[in-house]
Amino acid sequence: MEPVLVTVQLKKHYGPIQAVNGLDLAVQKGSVYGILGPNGSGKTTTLGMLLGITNPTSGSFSWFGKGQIDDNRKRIGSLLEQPNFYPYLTGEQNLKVVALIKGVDEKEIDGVLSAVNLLDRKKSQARTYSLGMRQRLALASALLGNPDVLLLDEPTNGLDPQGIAEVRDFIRNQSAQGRTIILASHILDEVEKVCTHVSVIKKGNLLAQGTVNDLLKGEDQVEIAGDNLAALAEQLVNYPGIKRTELLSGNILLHVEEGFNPAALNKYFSDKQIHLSHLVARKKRLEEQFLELTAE
Amino acid sequence: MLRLLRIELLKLIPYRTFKILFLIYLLLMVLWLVGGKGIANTLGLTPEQVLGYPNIWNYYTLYACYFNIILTILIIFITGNEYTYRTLRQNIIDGLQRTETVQAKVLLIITLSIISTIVLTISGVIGGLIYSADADKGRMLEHGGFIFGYFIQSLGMMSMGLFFGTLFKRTGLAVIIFLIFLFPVDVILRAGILPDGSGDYMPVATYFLKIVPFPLDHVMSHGEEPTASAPTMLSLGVGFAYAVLFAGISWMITKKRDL
Ligand SMILES: Nc1ncnc2c1ncn2[C@@H]1O[C@H](COP(=O)(O)OP(=O)(O)OP(=O)(O)O)[C@@H](O)[C@H]1O
Ligand SMILES: [Mg+2]
Repeated sequence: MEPVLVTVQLKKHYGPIQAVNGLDLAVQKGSVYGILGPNGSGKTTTLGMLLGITNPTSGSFSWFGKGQIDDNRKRIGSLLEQPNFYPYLTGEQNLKVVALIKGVDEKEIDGVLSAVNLLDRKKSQARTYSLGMRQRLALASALLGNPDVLLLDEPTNGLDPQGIAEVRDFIRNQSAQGRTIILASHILDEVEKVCTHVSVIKKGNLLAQGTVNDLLKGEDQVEIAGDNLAALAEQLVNYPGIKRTELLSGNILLHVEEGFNPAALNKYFSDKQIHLSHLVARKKRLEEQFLELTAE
Repeated sequence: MLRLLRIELLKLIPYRTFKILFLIYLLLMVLWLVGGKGIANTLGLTPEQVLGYPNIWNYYTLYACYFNIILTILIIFITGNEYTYRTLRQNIIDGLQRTETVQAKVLLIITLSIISTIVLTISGVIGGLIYSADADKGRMLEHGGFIFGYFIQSLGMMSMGLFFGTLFKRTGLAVIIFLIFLFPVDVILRAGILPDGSGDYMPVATYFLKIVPFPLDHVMSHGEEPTASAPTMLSLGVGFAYAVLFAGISWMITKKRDL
């Protein structure tokens, strides 16, 4: 697999604020790559550098193995924060400007407009569009020229549930057609639902990078308690299927592998004449995991 | 090159403020010819002396230079709009180079300067035909050097607009600061602060006093002395140098800053 995008120690400092602090990212062709981080973590700043509008303080990046040349951007369809259009131009005229910039045939405009259901409003001024329509016009604009990569920054921001579902379908669809997608979001659920890969950033630092399955899949946990927690823990040292044991104040938290059988654990203890006062098996919720990843 | 100009025209032509401002500019250009008699009168001259060939080129361009303030404000608007609508950012995201965004504006300025110069030439020829004494009808393009001076002044003023729009980003603020620079600041600097004569070639002085000078001798002598026949090479050179300077600084700013 060839990487579509590689960044090396990418940094952006605004005075004392370290908005992006040495990111090393690698996005493979065909993946849906999520950049997940809380508000202010540096997602937009990162994408801004990748799109040539924010000058990096240091570090470098390379699109398509071709470095930072301006023409790379003609192969990328992007929606960065809110959609930006000439409000007094019609939807169609706005796309003509984009087509001219990208060197794309104007005949493609109707196609992308119908892909986002805006064809019937193409003669209306962009200022008369609703937020959702503007978002769709931006997606149409991003599709012009059949780009290899779609780069979307919080594309569901401000949309109603139906709009959100539409955008997610759109992303899945585009991915199914073989496009690489980079999606920045602070919504874990969104990344989990549409992405194949994810990097988690916080305060400009990369916390983790990998496949969504490895990083965000809900982890199985078992909570146990008994008279003597220390003795319990001792018995668990060589027990199979336990990844990590956490000794808490009133109980023990076991991080276990998938398919772990709590009944067998209970029997193991009773065979040793140890009786558990508490045994709960549960799946850790994704939110918790995200909070853990991004906690101080 | 043509592609950049096409992009700019695509943005400009449907823009209502452009239509209104350009219409006002055209109206002023026509109005001057219509009201020229009154202007001649206030100067103590006959209409033929002001509106006839070849003096019309000096007098007409003198006023037309002021009308160019409208085109300058137009350029400030469209430059500032690219920042307030965040479309400059979008254009670059879509694949335009930063340098190209400035090139496109410069091409538009050159185009508008050519158009305004054509407007001036055509209406000047017509005005002269109407007002010239029969004996002067053949002197149509004598003193035509002022037409070229007007072209340079148009370039320079709009380039100044590009600079103000780029520097201040917000259209309203940029226009106000431009107007302040146009009237009090430049005048005070020239008359009050800089040593005598050294401010003669400040940008505003160059564009409003030097390229097309007021034909003082002609007026004082009630038309006995001739008007100047063309702008001086020095004033044209300085005027053009400022045009390049303003565009160049705009380019440097656009190149450097985060958008
Ligand atoms: N032009 C700027 N000047 C100063 N600080 C800035 C500027 N742009 C961004 N920052 C700071 O950089 C940090 C990262 O901002 P950024 O917009 O990249 O975050 P984000 O991850 O996109 O957040 P959100 O989810 O809210 O969109 C923030 O602390 C922000 O205040
Ligand atoms: Mg953001």
